[in-house]
Amino acid sequence: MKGLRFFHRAGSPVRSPTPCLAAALLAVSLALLPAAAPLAQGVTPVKTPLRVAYVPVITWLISWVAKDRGFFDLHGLDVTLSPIQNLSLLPPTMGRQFDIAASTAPDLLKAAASGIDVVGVAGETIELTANQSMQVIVRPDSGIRSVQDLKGKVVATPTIGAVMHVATLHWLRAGGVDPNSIRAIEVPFPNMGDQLKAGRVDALELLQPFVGQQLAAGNVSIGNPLLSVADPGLFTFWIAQGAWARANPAVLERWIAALKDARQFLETNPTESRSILAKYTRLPDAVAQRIPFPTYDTTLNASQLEVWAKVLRDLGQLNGPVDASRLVVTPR
Amino acid sequence: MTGRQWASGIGGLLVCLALWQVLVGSGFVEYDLLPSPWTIAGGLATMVTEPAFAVEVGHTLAATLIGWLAAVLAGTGLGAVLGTSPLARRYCLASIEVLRPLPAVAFVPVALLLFGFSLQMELLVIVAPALWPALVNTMEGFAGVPQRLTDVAATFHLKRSTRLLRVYLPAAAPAVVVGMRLSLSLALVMAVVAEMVGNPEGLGYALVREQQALHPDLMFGYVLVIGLLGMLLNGLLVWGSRLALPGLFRRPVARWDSA
Repeated sequence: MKGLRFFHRAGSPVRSPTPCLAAALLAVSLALLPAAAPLAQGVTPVKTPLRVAYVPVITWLISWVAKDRGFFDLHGLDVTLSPIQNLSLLPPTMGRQFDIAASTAPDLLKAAASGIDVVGVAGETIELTANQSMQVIVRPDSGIRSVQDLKGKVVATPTIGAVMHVATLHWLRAGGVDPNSIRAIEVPFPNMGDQLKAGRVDALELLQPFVGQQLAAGNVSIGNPLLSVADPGLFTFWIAQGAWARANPAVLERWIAALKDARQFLETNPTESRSILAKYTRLPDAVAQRIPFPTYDTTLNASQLEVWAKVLRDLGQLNGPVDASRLVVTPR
Repeated sequence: MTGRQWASGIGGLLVCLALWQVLVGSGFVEYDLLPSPWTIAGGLATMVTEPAFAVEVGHTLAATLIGWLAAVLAGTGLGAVLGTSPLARRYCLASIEVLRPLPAVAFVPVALLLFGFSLQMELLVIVAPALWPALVNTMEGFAGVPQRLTDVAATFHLKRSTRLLRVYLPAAAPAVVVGMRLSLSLALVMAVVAEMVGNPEGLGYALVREQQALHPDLMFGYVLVIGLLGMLLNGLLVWGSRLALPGLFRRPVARWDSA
């Protein structure tokens, strides 16, 4: 402190040559550091860190299997998995807080239309007649037997504006029902059954395992809106920042390879996969043991997205031009 | 509060719980997501033994207190300025009335864009609404200091700082404390909301997580814990302000234990 005060009083501090020399040495050694780093990497291969966000539902199971069974490690990835409740919030965080995240076509397309640099990088689940995860459920005594009967009814949806509701609106439109004639209210999946029982809503947009629960309780399905979009159709997939995805094709290749390994493990070891499911979702064991697996498929192509872009455009939910062919960056 | 009052207060609660237990237990009311109080008590008992529970409570408590402190510091500071300066009020009051009713939940996407899923995001959602009760009450408290008190201060030619500490602050203190209490309960509510819809941490996220995981007993357990936390924080604040301002509570004020 004394020295500092002295220099202040003196007006123009005179520097000794020693600090200058030290600074020069420091600069030189700092400049050499990046050159030394690859050498160190050559000795011990460093895993690529990946920050990944998922939603704790069965849809994202293969990523948890890949993590817990070491498939990410095997492919040189150091993956940190973070649970998020609402995947609609994820696109703006790509490249900032997360590298790869769970998403759906409406979320990606709407984000891209509003100018966010985000692309699809790998598939996760598809919906097809042979294996269905979504159903629209009504009470057996409701008099609702088909999509046409939904006119003027109250429909419970997990999120207005998200994939399942967009599909439902498309399904209504395709069935000749004005999508504006229904009233949609947001209800979390676990509460939907009680709302139907209490007569507060007429129909539920439900996903497994809740579909199975409601069917077992005696309620009935009047169809699967996702299949009205495409059959087989794209349901969920992984997204990343566009610039990052284009710069890291090798990382994406390893990501997909790990997911494929995990899918194979899941097919041959369902029991062990179900205990991983119970761990990540905290679902009761009885539910985790019985819930049907969705169809996992890591391929993703632009034509699958184009179908959804048309659906959104027809419903007037896509403001701004979107070129779906540029929204998929995935290694061939 | 006398023992008799305590007894009748708790008695009323027990009657409600018993009725709930009978309705659910007898199958008269049968919903998947409405467990009986007894089941909730069981869930609560297992919940508090999990190591993650303390972390969740700690996170929500920290977010609430940091957000509340920031809101109170800014709110009382600005409120004091606005309360003592008619000129400042003339220029700012319209803006405040426009900003005050904005729903803080609507800021969640903006907060996420700015801070990602983080404590900062949560704090933005907490401070934005919790600021107003502190600000408006402090402003009203300072502006409502009786004329004769300010006249006496002027007659004695009191210094600005003395006037603030000896005249304005004691006269405005009841209103400031009310503002602080309103801010505190709002800060806790907003912390839980921010955790439910945004930042996946703390009691709010745990509540949604258990709901999605089909554990309604644990979900209601978390609701109860949040309620108790609110009661505890309010009790501590009332106790603290009684210690700091002994003259303030001579008149009975609406407290949870003064009924």
